[in-house]
Amino acid sequence: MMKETYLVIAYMAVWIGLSLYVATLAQRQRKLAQRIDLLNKQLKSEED
Amino acid sequence: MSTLNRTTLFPALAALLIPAAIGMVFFYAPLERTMGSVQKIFYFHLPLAFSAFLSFTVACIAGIMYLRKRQRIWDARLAASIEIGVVFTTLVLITGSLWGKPIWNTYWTWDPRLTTSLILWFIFASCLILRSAIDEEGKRATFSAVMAIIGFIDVPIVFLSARLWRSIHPTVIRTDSIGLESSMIVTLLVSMTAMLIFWVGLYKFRVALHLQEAKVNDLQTDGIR
Repeated sequence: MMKETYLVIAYMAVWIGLSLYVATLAQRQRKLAQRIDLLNKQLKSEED
Repeated sequence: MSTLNRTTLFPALAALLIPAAIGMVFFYAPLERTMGSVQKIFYFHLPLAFSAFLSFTVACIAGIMYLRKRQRIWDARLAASIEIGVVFTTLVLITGSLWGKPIWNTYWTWDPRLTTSLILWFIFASCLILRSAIDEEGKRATFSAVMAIIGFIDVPIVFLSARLWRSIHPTVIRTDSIGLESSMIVTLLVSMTAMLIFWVGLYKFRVALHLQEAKVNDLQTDGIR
């Protein structure tokens, strides 16, 4: 394989890897925010 | 500075600097005489390694602070830095292997620098597994704090391994000089700054996420009561 191919694969690995990690964190944050809202509503209705 | 500005400052800076750094790597930095274009992996391999070391240093400090103060924020900082450190070390190992294949004619060799880096990855990856295996918050934080402090011992060993033992891994930053020409140093500095700013943004985001997870656990516990 040519040296340029290794260079391109390495850069793709770095930026795809980091992008996937950020996307996973963003997804987790979205789900948690929804869960917090739901739990807050449940607690409020129980208090009422 | 408003909350919105504080949360978007680092991602915005990273979004500007990362394309600039990639552009400089491909269009400004000169080709290295013996290794050719594959040497350009170096401009992100080194910043990734530096950021991984920073992660484990922060993890060690957060671990010490947690054991002293027993505050949730230090556990959040500990968890965030361990996770980011493992991600960055994984990318260091991948980019290093891809650089090694055309230069050393192998993806992997049991060189001191490579072996100690792999050990570092195993230590902190097992720390993540340990964290996911313990449900009790206090116990989980204490165990991972102790493991992060002990695991940090490997960071200076990785850094010094290529200097202390016979190694085929190049040593760019030496005590007397930096073995690069000026345009390579400028490109490296831009890449390093971009990666560090990205790291800060990622770290703040991960700490906030951990605190949010803890809040959900609290709300669920309140709901059970």
